[in-house]
Amino acid sequence: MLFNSVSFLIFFPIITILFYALPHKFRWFMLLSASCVFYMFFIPAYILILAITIIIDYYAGIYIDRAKAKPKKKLILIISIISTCLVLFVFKYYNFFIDNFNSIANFLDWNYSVESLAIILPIGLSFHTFQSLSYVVEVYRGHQKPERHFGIYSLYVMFYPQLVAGPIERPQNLLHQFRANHKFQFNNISEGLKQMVFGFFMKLVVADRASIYVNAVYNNPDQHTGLTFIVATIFFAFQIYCDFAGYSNIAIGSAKAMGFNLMQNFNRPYFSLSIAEFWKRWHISLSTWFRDYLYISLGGNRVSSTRRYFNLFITFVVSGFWHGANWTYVIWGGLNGIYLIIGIFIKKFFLKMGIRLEKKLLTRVFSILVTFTLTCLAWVFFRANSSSDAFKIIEGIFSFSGPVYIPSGPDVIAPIYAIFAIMILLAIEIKHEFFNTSFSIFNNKFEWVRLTAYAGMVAFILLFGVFDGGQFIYFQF
Amino acid sequence: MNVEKIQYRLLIIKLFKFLIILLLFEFIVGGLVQWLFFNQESGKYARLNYTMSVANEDIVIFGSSHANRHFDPNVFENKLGLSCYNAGVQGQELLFVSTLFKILCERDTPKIIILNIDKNWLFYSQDGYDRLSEIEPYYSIFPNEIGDVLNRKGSFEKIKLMLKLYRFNSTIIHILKYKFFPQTDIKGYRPLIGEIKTFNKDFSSDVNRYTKLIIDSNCISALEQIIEISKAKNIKLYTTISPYFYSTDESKNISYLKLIEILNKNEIPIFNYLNDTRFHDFSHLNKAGAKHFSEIVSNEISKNIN
Repeated sequence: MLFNSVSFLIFFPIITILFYALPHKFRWFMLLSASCVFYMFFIPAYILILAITIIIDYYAGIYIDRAKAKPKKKLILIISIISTCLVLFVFKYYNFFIDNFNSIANFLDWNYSVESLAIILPIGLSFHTFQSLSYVVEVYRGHQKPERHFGIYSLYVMFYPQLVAGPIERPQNLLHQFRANHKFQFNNISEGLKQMVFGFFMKLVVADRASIYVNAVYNNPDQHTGLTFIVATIFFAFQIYCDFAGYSNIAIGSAKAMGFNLMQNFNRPYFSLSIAEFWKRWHISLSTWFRDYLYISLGGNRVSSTRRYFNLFITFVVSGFWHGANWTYVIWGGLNGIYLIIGIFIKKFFLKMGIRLEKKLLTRVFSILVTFTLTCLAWVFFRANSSSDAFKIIEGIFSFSGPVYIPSGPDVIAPIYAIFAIMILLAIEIKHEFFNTSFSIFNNKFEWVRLTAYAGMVAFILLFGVFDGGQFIYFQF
Repeated sequence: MNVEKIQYRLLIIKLFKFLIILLLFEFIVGGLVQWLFFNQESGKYARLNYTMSVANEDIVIFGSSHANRHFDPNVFENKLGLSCYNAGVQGQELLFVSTLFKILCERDTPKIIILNIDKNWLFYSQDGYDRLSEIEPYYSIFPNEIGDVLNRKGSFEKIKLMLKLYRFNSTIIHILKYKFFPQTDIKGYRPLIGEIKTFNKDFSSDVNRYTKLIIDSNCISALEQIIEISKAKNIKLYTTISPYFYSTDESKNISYLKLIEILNKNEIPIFNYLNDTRFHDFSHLNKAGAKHFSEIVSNEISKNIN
């Protein structure tokens, strides 16, 4: 089920009302059933794939806890990780490796080819896999007691708000919340609904509007030139942010309405002063997942500088590969890794020179612009349909040639709406980032101002949103 | 009263207040946008307003941008001595065009209808359904005609259209743009000025792409409804297929083949000009091309009438 569908607008209040209406002991079952229904709106049979990983990791958790010897615990952990990742590999990466193998075989004139599988990636499988893995690793590390209630454990990896696109939760934060008896509190509903409204604004008004122009350009790179690529890439930066942060806001808000606290996933990332800061503000649940389970496992910061840079680079390449089985994502990840390593050198240099960039307004603005520009250049690889398209677009961007493409037909006004929507988003974010203590209409002390602000936002979404927009981009990962 | 009951009561009161304010927005902002929308003097919606509520010309031309850009009503008026209006709508497909046709024919009976067909019109097109949103502002005026087609778009569409704010979604900038920068047209026709630049694209792959597309039965019934209404109201229906600047192999285009089959079965004249060279861009005629094309079609109709 899509968050931006009428079905969800009916589903959400029914489930929230049922949640509070039912006695505590039945709630897990209702939520688990609702989550299954939510997932089965896509391809119903694929729920069986999730069931496989749920069973594997549920028993892995219990057996890791039961095992007395460390090597045995480790063995169970490894079996669990391999089994869970194997499911992801088959559905997400098998065809990528086969296609590349066939290309190499073809290049070397080997008369050998392996058939690709005609399968569709189950929605949200990468998110599901990572949340599942975080559970077994935390049980292995002793940070989490294994969950012995199969229903509650299933709900932890199936909880509908974050089932298909995160935030990727940790068992320490979420699992115990399913056992707590959530009393009805007006503030939870209010805060949840407010966050959802903002999420819908980001998705329907900004992301889906910008996507019209982005798709027109990125799907036909042969027909466009430099300035158009620059505009489309900036639009894409806001599209991907609002699409995913919008989803996260709706997810966090709908969970909050039932009293569940999910982790924050975005923190105004485009105001970052460096790439390192960007990754502390962007897709926080994934960044911290890679930090906790890959980067630290590789040695983290407790190794030599060279090894540390290598670890960083590998972590980002794997992160790119997690996003999609395509070389464009690998390059995107690698590029971010390189940015980060260069950033460390620059930071060291500035520290040596006694320069503190964040102190002066002008240098802060400059740093924000440089970080945004670097991020946009990396986004080209993320969005382009192929690596060759991406390099063509990068080449076009640096040519700075015109004119800027204006769509024809019904989409002619799309860029104007997109600019208008981005400006409103920036105004809201600048206010929160830099002037949080000053006047606010959304957190005003007068009730009628707050209610009018949110009603106005709903009216604005109805008047300016794109209601024929498609799925959330991160569903495919 | 226990704490939880107080919390429930608080929620109900706040939701009630919120809904009242939202309804005020719906009434005031929605009402203002509605007024602005129906008082447009130029632009696409002004032409749609005219077609739906005013047009009473003898000849009405229907179709997508190919109709809008390729048919000069003055040529038809001069040649045939009948008044003519171009009701072609940029970016639209058969479901939209048939609805527009039905709305006009409920109110008026033109002598001649020229339906300019796009060869891929019978293929299922998500864009075709998405772009039906352009007809949604008229739902309150023509609920039956528009409701019929919107049912095909989605189960909840009619419920959503109860809100003016949703009905007039994405129209404000359009309204303001043409309020301050009026768009000219010649009886609905909007000529393209300029000539095509060299366009190096290999279209040979187009033949294979048809195999991936499927026929939409809703589009077939939309075409059949146009034919039925024309027959029932004794309107002479002519169909045309505009030229493209590159030659195409339509032997595998089942939409095109089915279109021809339906029109032949109903004995509807087809003036098929799929190949020509005078174009503004890769799919539209420029002003001179449109004049020439309109002369050819009006000559054919003139011969057919006589």
